[in-house]
Amino acid sequence: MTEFRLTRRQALQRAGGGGVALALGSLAGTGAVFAQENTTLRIRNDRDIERLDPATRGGWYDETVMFAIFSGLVRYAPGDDWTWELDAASSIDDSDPLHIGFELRPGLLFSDDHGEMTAEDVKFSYERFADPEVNAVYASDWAALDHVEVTGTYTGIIHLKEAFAPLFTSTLPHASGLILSKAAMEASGTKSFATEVPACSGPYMLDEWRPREVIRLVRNPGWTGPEPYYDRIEILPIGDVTSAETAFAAGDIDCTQIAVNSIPSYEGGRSDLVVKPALGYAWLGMNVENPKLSDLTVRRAIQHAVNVKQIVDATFGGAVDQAHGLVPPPLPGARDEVLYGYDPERARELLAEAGVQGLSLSLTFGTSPDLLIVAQVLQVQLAAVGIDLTIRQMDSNTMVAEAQHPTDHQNIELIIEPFTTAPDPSWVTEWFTCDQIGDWNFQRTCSEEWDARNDEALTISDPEARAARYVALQDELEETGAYVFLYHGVNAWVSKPSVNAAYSADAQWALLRDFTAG
Amino acid sequence: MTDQTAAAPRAVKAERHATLRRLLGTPTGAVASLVVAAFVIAALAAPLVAPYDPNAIDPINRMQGPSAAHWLGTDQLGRDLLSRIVFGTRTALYIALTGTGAALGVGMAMGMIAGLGGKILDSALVLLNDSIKSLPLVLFALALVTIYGASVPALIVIIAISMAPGYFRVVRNQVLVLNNADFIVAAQSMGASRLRLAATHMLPNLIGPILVLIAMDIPAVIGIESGLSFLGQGIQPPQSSWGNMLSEGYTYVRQAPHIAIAAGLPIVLSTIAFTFLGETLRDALDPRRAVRT
Repeated sequence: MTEFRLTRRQALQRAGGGGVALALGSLAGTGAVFAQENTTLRIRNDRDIERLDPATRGGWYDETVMFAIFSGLVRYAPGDDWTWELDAASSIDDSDPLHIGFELRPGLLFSDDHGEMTAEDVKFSYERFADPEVNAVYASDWAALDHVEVTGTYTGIIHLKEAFAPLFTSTLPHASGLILSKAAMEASGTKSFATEVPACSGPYMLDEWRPREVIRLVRNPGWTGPEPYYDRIEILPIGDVTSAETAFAAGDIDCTQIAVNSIPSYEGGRSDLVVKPALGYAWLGMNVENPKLSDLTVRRAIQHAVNVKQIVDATFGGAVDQAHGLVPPPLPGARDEVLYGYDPERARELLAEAGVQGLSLSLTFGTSPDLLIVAQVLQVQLAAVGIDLTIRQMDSNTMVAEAQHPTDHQNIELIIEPFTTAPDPSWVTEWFTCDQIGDWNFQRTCSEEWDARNDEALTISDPEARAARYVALQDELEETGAYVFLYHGVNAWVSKPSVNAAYSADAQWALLRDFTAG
Repeated sequence: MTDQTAAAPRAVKAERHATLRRLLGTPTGAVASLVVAAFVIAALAAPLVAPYDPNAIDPINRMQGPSAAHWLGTDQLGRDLLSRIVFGTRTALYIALTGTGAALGVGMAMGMIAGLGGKILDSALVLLNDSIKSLPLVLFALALVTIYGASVPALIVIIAISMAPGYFRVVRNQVLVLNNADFIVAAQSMGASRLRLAATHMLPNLIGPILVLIAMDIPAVIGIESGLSFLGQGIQPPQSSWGNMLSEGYTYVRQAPHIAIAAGLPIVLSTIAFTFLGETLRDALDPRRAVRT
């Protein structure tokens, strides 16, 4: 065994050698050094992954990862507009709205030796949404699909039963358009999957998942499309936004979504701040099957009692505008005024007309701090017209379970549950149909005529006529008295100056494959 | 005979004065008593002391720092923080006193029964109280709140159940010791009933240790209320509570740290003051202990 011993002369020689090496490294340029440092991106996800199957996925927290590990024929382009660009497809022929032709780029390999992506994989990925055994949560995305015809190894035609306006807005570029490996799925012996991904088709693949700790992505060696910058991406599920901001300030993560109220503290700072209007919608819903709210006059009084502008200003400090409907402004069908706005005098008159005195209501909502502020302002506003409001803040899953329960839904009186959406108005209105009572229609409003007009809106190809239809649909919802539209919100992110971040047009998703060094 | 009966109340009065002198004679005791008195006055006279309506919102002036108009600043809804702290004091002390009072009532009754009621009853009550004491407090409280909902009565019940074993043990031990005291034996030989023994002869001898325990428990109760409110399972809005304020302050700690600081201050101050008051009271009631320590 050799003893390691260093004389003073040797130490000086080695230190000098190190210094020369550092100097040479500096001469070679700082870019090389930073490139080496920046090959791992550490980013926060506000929830852990749940289901990465395109047909049964959970929400944006899954989709952020899915957009990195799967490719679709087309994808949302990063930037401020909801445009799409080619992804796994080398060309798309959308000249015929009922028959969409596509050609795949040759040589795209699935991970884990599951072979090359072909038109058969596209056919399998899209047609499985109609398979009852898959039980696709997002089956409505492909409701208009008749079948996918395979015309060659890389070519095919998507045949639709009827014109489907959301195809290029919220189906093909979205997670429902992602392509799975037919061979890998068949080998797995399952119809759908959660987090055990059979094979990846995107620039990254899932390397490791430690629940509630880290999701690690590494380059997919089979990916022959545009090379992503980062070798490795570590996604940290941090639910609490304040903790995430603290982690960012400490340098533990490179990029995170921040609270809307934190925006001013990052303005003009060293970090790169991005704020975009969100594709979301929050509203105050009233359960029309609850005896206290079964009278339209009472519901109308509540509509008039709510000062939405004050709520939004109190909650977001002027960073967010009030909503005039459910459909967010960038989308066709967004309204610019409400039918029954703030008028406390009228609210009092209507309550008197309804013969209601000393009305006591409860407001149920999830654990968001923003909603707690909304609720407290509502307490003050409703108290001003003689309505006593009790706050019921609870775990969101518990709240949803209660609202969906066949009998416990009677506990729900007023409710707030913000939704996010995809860039098509059909995604916004589909939750308010009769079929959705017991699922996501917490207000339990039901009109079969409304449902029919909502279904018809999917097939309207003229953009102006379609927008007008969605405005009318929201007017009718407001007429029921069961809705007070609150806000759409904004999404705000910060990243280190050394990171060039990329987001979807509403910044709901960080488009991980488009991140580069700053 | 006349002289002897007159001398007894005088001796009690003198002893009380001596205890009070010992309590206020130390800097710790004096400052702790002053701070506790300030909290009590703030709670009793909250509508007079608070400069604003604690629930009046003012979104335009949200998250303002301390100023002449708002000495401690405003919260995320533009409400005056000082006013909310003053009304929060009322909430905290109300729950602390009612919760501790309920715990004392239950614990003392069980302690007396255990001490005077025979071996089987004693063993059963000891087992019951030890079982309650072994429950993890936060989980127990969260379970009860989940079942019965978050409300002030629910909080008081939680506090009473979780604190009662402490009073039970002290009262039971004291009663067991007093059972063999000469004056108790004498009273028994003169035919005093158990109820009379408990009420007339034992209770006065328990007041000292119980007062100390109450003073030590109040900060713990304030901590429980604040903790549950911080988790959203305690006092519900718009009623102000230090825990709620701290929770909301945490949400905005980066933008407006003064909210969390203002909410945390009374929790820290009241905890320290009541703890020191309890310790000084214990020394004042037992001067030999003070000398030993």
